[in-house]
Amino acid sequence: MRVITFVMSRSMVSYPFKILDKKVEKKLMFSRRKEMTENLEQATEIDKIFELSVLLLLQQVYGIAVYGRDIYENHDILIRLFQHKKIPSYVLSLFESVSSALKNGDTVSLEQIKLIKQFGLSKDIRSHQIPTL
Amino acid sequence: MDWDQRLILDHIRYLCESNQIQGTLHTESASQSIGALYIPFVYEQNQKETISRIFNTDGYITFEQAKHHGVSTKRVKECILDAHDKAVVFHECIVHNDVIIEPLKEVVGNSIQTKSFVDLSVHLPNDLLRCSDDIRSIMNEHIMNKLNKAGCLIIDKNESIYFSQTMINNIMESIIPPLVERFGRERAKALVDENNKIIEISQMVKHTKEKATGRSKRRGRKNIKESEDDDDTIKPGIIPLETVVDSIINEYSDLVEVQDSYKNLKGDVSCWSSDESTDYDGPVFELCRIEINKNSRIDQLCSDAVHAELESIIASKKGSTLRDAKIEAKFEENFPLACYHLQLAIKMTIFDQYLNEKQRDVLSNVILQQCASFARRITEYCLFKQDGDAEEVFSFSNRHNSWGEKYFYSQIDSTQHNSMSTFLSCTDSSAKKLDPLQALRNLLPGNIGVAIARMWVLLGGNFYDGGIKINYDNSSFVRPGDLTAFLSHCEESCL
Repeated sequence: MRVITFVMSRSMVSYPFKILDKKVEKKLMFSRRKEMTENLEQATEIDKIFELSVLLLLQQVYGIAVYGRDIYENHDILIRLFQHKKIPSYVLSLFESVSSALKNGDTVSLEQIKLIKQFGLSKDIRSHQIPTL
Repeated sequence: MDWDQRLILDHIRYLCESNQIQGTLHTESASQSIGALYIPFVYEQNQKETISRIFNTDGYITFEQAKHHGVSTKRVKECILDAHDKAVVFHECIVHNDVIIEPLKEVVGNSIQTKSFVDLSVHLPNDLLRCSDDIRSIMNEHIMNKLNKAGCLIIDKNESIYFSQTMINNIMESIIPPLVERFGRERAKALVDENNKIIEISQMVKHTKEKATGRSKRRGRKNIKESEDDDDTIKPGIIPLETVVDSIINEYSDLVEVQDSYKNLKGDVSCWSSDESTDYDGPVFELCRIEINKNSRIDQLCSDAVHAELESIIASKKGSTLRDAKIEAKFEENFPLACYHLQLAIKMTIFDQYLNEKQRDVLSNVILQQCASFARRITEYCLFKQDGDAEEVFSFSNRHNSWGEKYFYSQIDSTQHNSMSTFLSCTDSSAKKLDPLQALRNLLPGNIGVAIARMWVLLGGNFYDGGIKINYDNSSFVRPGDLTAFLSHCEESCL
């Protein structure tokens, strides 16, 4: 059985290095999702909407927190990660086109922004209906 | 043949009185013999002329000088006072007001105006200077009283210096305060260094002040005994006398020569009390002992300065202790979250299976960047715990976050978990740029420095200065990061 709490040297930080267990992880992931969802609901800029939607979807389908701008701003990595069975193809194609537009500095339509936000706020992207624009 | 002396003296007296011989006869009779002195008028006139000539030439005559010419004090006084209405008689001399006193009064007046001093040996002859009591009388009664000004007269067998009151005031106002202030600062710092526990110092200051004001004595007899017995009070000390003398001499360069002649005769130059010091260390030392210490109670000034500085240090230390405690609390609050988010970030390695090699490198770098932020948090904290300027030696790229706090106690952003780049280096303050890892090992005590440096090594060469080695063929080698080893090191190596 693994010891779940290691104490760092008293002479170093004097606080235990906290090991992440399932319960804490679940709690953290929940609060993170909640916080990002609230931020997404209030977001108006496409960069912020796209970033939060990507992070929320990746957390939803992979069950892990994604950190680092280099992940969601890297078009190739983003597409590879979105090629997941839980992500419908129309969602993939939308994110792919918006990612390309942002990368190239092209304009993103309001409809696309609205869809991105909808997908980001979706609790289950698999059961999300194909939107009719 | 047996002469009757009385008969002869009577006859000589008759001759003198009838002007048949020019002179006077002075007689005095003892029990069995009669003493008699005949002084010819010509001799007396000659003496009178000599005394008058000396007085007219020099403007003074001492009774010692007159004695050498065979003239009694009484006779000198008669001679001079008869002929000179501006002669002033003192205990050991007679001086001419216009020749000695008035010019001296003018020089003293100038020294008052220029806030300086007068070396009387320049203005008065040595014979006169030896009459020290008379010099005091001249200065006090005929000059300072008339000018309605005080001052300090230092008279020694070799020197007579008058320090004007304006000069003394200038010393008190311009020279002493900064010296006392500096002494207070240095002494308080030394006391704090000697007694590192600030609370004890605080109590000692309180205790010492109570003793000084007598408050503890009013509490009752028991306390009197206690305060007399224990030695738990701060001894503020007193500014070295030599320091004050040096500063005065620096300000009044003309005093250098005067004071330097006593360089080899110095007694206890640290002694402020004129009673205790038996040696004469020169006029400036005497001025400090007599005038400056008397007027300003230099020991009280020093004591007040030290106490004020100690209270200021205590207040600032209490303030910084409180601030440090708040920072510590913030770090403690955020540290577990930092540990959790580090482990969450490392879980991104599961993306490896979906990515090609190039993309895996990007991912790996992203995860290591999260680890570097964690390493920075711990490193900054360890440096913060060290006294001194250890924190200022290192740079972590974005050292301060946007709201001006240091990173190590800043709140965790769970959504982003910061995306700033971290790069450890030493600041360019030293001419030769230090290896940051070596600096960590040197600055942090015991194993802490080694463990912290190891943490950075495990992150890889991209995260610290000196991590990229240039080979002879100009190709570079970057020490690779090791996520597993890093996490393992964080979990257990410090214990």
